[in-house]
Amino acid sequence: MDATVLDRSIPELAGLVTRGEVSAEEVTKASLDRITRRDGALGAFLTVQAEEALSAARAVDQKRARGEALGPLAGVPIGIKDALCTRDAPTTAGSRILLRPASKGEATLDPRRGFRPPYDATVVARLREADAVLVGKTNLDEFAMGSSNENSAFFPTKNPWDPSRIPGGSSGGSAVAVAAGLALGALGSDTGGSIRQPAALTGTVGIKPTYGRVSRYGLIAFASSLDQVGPFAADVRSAARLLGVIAGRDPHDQTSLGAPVAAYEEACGRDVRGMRIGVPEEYFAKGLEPAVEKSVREALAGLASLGCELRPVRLPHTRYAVATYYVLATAEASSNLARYDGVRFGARAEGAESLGALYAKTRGEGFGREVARRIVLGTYVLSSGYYDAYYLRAQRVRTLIRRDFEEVFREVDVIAAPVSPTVAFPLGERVDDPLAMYLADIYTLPASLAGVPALSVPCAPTPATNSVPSLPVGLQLVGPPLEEARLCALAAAWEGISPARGLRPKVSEA
Amino acid sequence: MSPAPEGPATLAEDEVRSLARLANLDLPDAEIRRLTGDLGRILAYVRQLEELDVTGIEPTAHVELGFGAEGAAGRPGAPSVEPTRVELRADEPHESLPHEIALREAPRTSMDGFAVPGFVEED
Repeated sequence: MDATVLDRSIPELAGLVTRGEVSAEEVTKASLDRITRRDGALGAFLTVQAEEALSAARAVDQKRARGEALGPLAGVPIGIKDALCTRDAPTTAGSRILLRPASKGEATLDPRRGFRPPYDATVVARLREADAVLVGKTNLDEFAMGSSNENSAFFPTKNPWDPSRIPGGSSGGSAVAVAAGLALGALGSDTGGSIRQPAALTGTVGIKPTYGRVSRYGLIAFASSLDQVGPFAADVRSAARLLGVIAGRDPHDQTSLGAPVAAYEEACGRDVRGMRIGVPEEYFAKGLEPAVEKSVREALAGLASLGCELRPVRLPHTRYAVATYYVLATAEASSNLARYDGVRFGARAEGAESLGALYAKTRGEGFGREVARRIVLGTYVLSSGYYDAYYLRAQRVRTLIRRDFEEVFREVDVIAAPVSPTVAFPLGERVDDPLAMYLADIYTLPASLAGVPALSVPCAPTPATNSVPSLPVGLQLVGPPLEEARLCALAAAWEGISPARGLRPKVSEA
Repeated sequence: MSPAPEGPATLAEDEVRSLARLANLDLPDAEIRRLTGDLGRILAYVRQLEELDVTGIEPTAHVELGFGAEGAAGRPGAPSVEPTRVELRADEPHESLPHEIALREAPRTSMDGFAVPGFVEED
C-alpha cells in the first residue's frame, strides 16, 4: 500500500474509498503503520486503537460491498483529542487522575489504563456515523490546560517541523497527528486558543467554531462557557468537511445551537472579492515577532490581491483578554474539576483514613502542577470577599470584549490577524513561567471570550536561519457568530495563493 | 459597584494553604511555596482589570446567541444565519446507566455501591 494516500485531502480520500479505488482497510493499515514508524519520536498519540480501527474499516468496506451508500468521511483515519469520551476506549484528559489503579507489575503511568467511558461524545458518534475510522486518542495538556503540550502527565508532544520545539497546545497531539500525516483529520477542543494556536505552530488548518455550534456532550469540561470542539486538517476543504459532520444541535447539550448547519465545504470555492477585512492594530503590537508579523502582513496583502478590502479596526479591550480569561476559565475549572475525587472513577490515593483525606490526597497526587495552580486560582477568585473584585469584574470586562467585536463586525465581514505572537518555542523554555505561557494566548483569547468563530490557516513559514529552521506561521480569521462558512471561503481563497500551500514537514521514520 | 479588591497584592503562604484545603488539594509544603509565588505574580497581572470602569456593564456569564439585547441577530453586520433560540429538551424518562456499568470504573466497590472510608465518627 502506497502511504501517500495519507497525503490526500479528506474529500479526495473519501471519494477513493467510496468508489472502491482503495479500501478503508488499506488506508487504515497505512495510517497505523505510519503511527508505528513516526510517532515514537513525536508523541502525538497517547493510545492507538488498532484493532477497533481495523474492524471499523472492514465494516466500511463491507457496507460498500453490500451496495450501501457511504458517509462523507468514508474510511478517513481520524485522531481524537483525549479530552473527548470514546466508548470503552481509554480516555485520560492527559491526567493521572483518570488512570485506574495499577496492579502489581503494571507501569504506574500508562495511558492505556485510562478511564473507559460508557458512551461516545456526540462528535465522536457523528464521526462514526459518517464512516470515519478513529485510529487513536491524541496527546494534550492535562485537562486542556496549557499552550505547549508540556503539561501532559505522560510525555510532551514534539513539533514535526523541529522536534526540539513544542507543537502548541492544548490540542498539540491532534495538530501533530495531522501535520505529520499520521491521520487525515483530528478533533481538538479550544477554550482559549487550544485549536488555533497548535494549528498555527504546526502548519495545519484548525477551526474553533462559534460557541454552541458543536456539541460539547462527552467533552471533558474545562471551562464550560468557553469550551468548543473543532477540527484539524491539512487543508481548508478537509477541515470544512469535518466541521460539517460534527456541527449541529444536540439534545444532550443545552448550549448547542439549532441554527441550520451551513455548507462549509461548498463555501470553499466562493468568490471573496469585495469582502471587507478588518485589521486590528492591537494584534500587531509589542511582543509580536518580526518574522511572524512579516508573514501575516504578506498574507493580508495576498487577501487584498484577491479583491478584498483591508480596513484598520480597533479592538480596544484586547489587552485585558489574558487577565479576563485567567479569572473566568480558572473559576469554571475549579468547579468542573471538583468531580475528580477518587470515588467513582479514575485514581484513588492509598492510605486515606477519612473521606476528606481521600479527596484531598487523591487530588493532590492526581493533578499536575498547572491544573492545581488553576484550581487554586479559581477557588480564590470565587471566594467570598474576592468574587466581586475578580470574578464579577472579569465577567463585565468580557462584555466589553464582546462589544468590541460587535462594533467591528458592523463595518467589516472578517477580522484578520496573527494567531500567535511567536513561532513554536523550544521545549522547556516557558515551563517555569506560567504568566509567559499565558501571554502566548493573547491573540486567541478574545474570540473565545466573545464566543465568535475563528480559524487558523497557514501563511508563509519563517525563513530558516543558521540556528533555527523554517517554522510555520498561522493567519487567524475571525467572523461574526455562525459565519464559519465565510471564514472557510476566505481561508480557502487564501490557501489557493499561499506560499505555505502543500508544505509538509519532513518527518523521520524509525 | 464592586469596590477595588482590598486584599493584598500578593497572597501569603497561609492563605494559599487554606485555599488548597478549600479546593480539596493536599499539596506538599514545597508546592504551596511555589504556588504562592506563582499566584502572586498572576494576580498582580490580573489586577490591571481594575483600570477599567465597568459601572453599569452587564456581566457575561455565558454567550447566548439570539437572546436579549446583546444578541447578534437583527444588527448591521449580523450573521446571515438567524441563530435559533435554545430550546429545552422534552422532559421524558430515559433508561439510565446500568448499575454494573456505573460501577465499572470505580477504584473500589462494596455491596453494589462505591466504597469510601468511613465518615461517621466511631468509637
